[in-house]
Amino acid sequence: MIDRVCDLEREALEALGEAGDERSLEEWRLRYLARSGRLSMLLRGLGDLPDADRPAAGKEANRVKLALESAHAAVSRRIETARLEVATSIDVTLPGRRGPRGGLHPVTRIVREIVAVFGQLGFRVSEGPEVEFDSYNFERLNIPPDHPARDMHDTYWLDIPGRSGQILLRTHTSPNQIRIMERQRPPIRVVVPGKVYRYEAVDATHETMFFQVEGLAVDRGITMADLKGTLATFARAMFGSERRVMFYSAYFPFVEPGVEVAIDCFSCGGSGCRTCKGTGWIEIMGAGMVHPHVLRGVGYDPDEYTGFAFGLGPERVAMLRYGIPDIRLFYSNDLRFLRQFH
Amino acid sequence: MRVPLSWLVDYVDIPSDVAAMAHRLTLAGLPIAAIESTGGQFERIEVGRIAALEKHPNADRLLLATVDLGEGAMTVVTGAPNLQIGDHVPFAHVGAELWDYHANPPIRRALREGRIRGVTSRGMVCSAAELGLGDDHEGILILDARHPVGVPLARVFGDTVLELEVTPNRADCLSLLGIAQEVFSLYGGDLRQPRIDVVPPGESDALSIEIASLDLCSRYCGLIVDRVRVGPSPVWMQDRLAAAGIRPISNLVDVTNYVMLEFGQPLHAFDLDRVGGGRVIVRNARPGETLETLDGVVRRLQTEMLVIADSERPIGLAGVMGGRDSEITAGTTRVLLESANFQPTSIRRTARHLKLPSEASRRFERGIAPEIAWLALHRAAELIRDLGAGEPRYPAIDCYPRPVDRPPVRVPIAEFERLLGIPIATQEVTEVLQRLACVTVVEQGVIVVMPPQRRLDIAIAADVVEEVARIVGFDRLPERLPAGSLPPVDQANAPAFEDSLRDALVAEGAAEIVSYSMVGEAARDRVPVEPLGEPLGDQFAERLLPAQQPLALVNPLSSEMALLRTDLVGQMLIAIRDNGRWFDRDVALFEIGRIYLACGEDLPEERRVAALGLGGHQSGESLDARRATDFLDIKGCVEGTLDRIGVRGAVFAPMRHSLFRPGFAAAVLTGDPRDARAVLLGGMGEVDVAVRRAHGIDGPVFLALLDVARCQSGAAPLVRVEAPSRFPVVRQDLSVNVRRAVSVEDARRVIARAVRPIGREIALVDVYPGIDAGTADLSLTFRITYGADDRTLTDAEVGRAHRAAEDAVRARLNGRVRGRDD
Repeated sequence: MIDRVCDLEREALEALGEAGDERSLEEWRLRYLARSGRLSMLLRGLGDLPDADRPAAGKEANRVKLALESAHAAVSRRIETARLEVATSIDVTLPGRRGPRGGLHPVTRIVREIVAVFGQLGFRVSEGPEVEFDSYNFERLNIPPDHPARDMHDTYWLDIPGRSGQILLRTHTSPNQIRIMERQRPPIRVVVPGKVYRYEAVDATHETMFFQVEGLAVDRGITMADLKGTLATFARAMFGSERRVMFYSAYFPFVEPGVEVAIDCFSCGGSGCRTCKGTGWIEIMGAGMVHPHVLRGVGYDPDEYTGFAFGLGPERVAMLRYGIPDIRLFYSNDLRFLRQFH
Repeated sequence: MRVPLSWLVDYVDIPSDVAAMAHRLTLAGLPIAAIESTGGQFERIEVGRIAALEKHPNADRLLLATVDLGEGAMTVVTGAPNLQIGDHVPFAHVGAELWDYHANPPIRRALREGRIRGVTSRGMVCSAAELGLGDDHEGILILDARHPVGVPLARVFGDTVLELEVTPNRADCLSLLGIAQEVFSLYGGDLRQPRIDVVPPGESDALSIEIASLDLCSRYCGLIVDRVRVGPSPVWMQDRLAAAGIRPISNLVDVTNYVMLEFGQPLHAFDLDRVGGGRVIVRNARPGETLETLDGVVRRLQTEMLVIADSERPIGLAGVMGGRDSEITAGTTRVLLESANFQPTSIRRTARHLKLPSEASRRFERGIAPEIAWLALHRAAELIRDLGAGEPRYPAIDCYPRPVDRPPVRVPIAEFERLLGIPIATQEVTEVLQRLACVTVVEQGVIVVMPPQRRLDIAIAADVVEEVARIVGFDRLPERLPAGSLPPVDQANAPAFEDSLRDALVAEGAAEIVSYSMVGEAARDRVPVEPLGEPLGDQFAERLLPAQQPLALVNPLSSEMALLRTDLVGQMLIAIRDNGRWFDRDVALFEIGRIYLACGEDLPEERRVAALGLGGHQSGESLDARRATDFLDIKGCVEGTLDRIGVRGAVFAPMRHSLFRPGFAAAVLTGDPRDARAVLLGGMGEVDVAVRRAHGIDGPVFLALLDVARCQSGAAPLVRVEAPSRFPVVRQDLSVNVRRAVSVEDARRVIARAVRPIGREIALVDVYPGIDAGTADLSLTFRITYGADDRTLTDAEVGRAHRAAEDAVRARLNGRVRGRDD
């Protein structure tokens, strides 16, 4: 008798494993557990057993009954859960309910990145006027009137009676070198982002208004090696730690020596491509040691203090990094462009 | 500056890897913008020498030419009548591309193996026409014997030209000799100066020279050339000029240009017979004088312009352009050659004023050493003589009353380390400087440097340091970070505040835009600035939409960008309109920028303004739903923004301004507008229908303007935070009926005062307009949260406070409490 009960249990549990939905589960229940099911039929035979065997067999039959009932309940729960899941689940590919979509302008983002990197190197942020005196924009930066270097700066002049040819839209952020040194004594470490203007027709690579970030460090004992270390650190922070950084001679009237800073092309790795115009190198900024005339002009003794200055264009950084084909996109105020940065 | 390497090689050895040289020149501060190669069309053509000439066995008029090609020889059939044994000729191998003159019109085709009267030719000797080098297709082109046998023809007729972007400081590199010096200083080798026989200066019966304006002309050298035969210059000279980008004109003019390219010293040739009285006077133009320049334009001269004049009138604009009258013509027989030194800024001003930039003015305005004038004059004279273009009448006249004395530059040896960060050995410094043609003397820790004449840009110690650094290369220097202390930190600076304002607006869902600072008159006219005489609106106008005259640019790019903006409104509305084409909802834009307000003769005030604009629709609850934007949307954005930047307790008060729809505008203040200490931070509202229509916008738009500096002043740092109470709170609603004249804010304030101190929060939860036309026309429901920090409130306490609120509503708002008073 006990053997037959155990066999039934094995058989029933095996069959239960195949019951996948409510109907087959119910069939299983009717077959094994119901009043007219196989287990009940078997139990009815208990009375025919000898008295001595009856308690053990009864006990075993009860155990099997409970086991099958609990197995049934578990499967039933599983099936029910699955059914409910299908009926009430969410399609997770539905679009999420989003809060408002805002974001910063790409130039703001790049400027912040630039400022943050220099911030870690101890540079503070400052700002200055966009409408400037000729003296700050040119003369005190070692660019006297009628100097050929003025050809590098196509200038917008302001029509201010009594001030003809003296007030302009700054062509670079470098006037801030003068403004900062005038109001502060060394040590100086400052970056100045802002709009600058060039009297220049607009095309895919030229804007008449764009941003620059100026930098200046002045103290005793500042050298070209400090310039190199600072700007190489910056270049690698912006363009990848594996970048090679190259410095080469360049002319800016307010620095001496002057350099151009270039990185090896991240697009082709230096073999030459469209991004680097086949040279393997990409110019990212101009820099140099502050010219002794500039230092003297703000009342600093060039024999005591030295410094370096640099300037770069955030649009250019963004164009290089994101493959932006046309500088005019920045000031088109087109959300289809801007939202890609959000 | 275009630098043909076939010319440059006259003066200096050129390394074989031109691209590498270009890179190295770029690193040294001479940026090479392009490397241009010509001669690609001469592939498979080389220089051969006629080794033997025989008659063709089967044709009387044909020859068999055996051509020595260095490595082997070829025999080919030719019909050319002009060949001699020993001639160097172009030899084309099979496959070379040649012009076929038997075709009509001639076409270029690849040469094939040919068989003429039983003799096979695997190539041919070529005429100029077949090479595309001229019209002669009868005779074979005979080459100069200096071209070695076996050399590709591309090396004979092709060239490599460097396009050098000369920076304004390097006047010396507007000359081939200057560039040769640079190549030499980087690569060494041989430096070859043209040999010039300089004859000491003297007097002339036929010519007198006088400098009347010594400040504008420091030196004037003149030389008479007799027996002039004007004609074309030789082909080699024409080729060189053309490769350098200068159009050949005639032998005399070409020589002056050739020497200018060589030395960087512009020269001019006058027809001496047109120089009245044989007198040259260098003087300022006189009032009213005019001059017809070489380009045929009659120029009205100004007295600050320097002219070359004869005894009566100007014959040339000094350093800019010659006069038409004294131009060299076919009939010229006597020439005055001029080589002078003019003051750079004067030349630059004149050239710019007349919009006449020239090769000459470009060089003069950068500065040329006066010493070079004398050399260049003699070089030109020799070339003229050698070309048979005329006979120089030495001695030349040299008018150089005050010779310039340039002091040497004293560079302490320690200066290299002070600027570069590492010491450079004195030995190396002097070697580098000598390669740059500097004369150096080392004395007691100082290097005394006499730069070469043409390097006027080397004037102070830092210049010398740069010379050394750029030649040894900046690679040599280590990378360090500045040592020393840091300047103090200014936490509350304007850029940092602007950044927090940006972040706040972004958090409110707005996208940042950046607009031009320049606008046009038409755009300004679309934005109304007239105040309406209402105090808050007028204050708003004064801060954010000032009605003042904008600053104008002298030289705008276009009329749409001629004025500096005095508000951010027009550009914001245009941006909303344009984006409305692509997005039917959620167009929320902001800009933080400056407006420019004239301050007499001072620099203008650059006032920082934040503008926020909302388009007509916002996303709704369900997927496709969108709802109309309303006033409360923009107000919510402004409230949220002010909260985030730390402006607490801002008050919104009704305001009237013609920018906004009447009844839908508010001023934002730091306090009650009746309080004189309250500061206006900005304003907002729905844009007036006419204004938005003027900007091409069909539906409602909303705008807010904030004065950034005032917001910064109004922002209080967070100083104290309270711990939340551990005790439960009780919420009770209070519904009141009030007249429309009572604002929600008034009602809230009255209730708040009444429930103090246990009323912690009073929130408006319902507004229901127009319940009872007779007595009141607005029903408001406030939810009051009662609580205390130190205890659980009793029902009695809450009840007392709530009844106080009800009493206040009746007494102070003349209102009724719903559920009690009705």
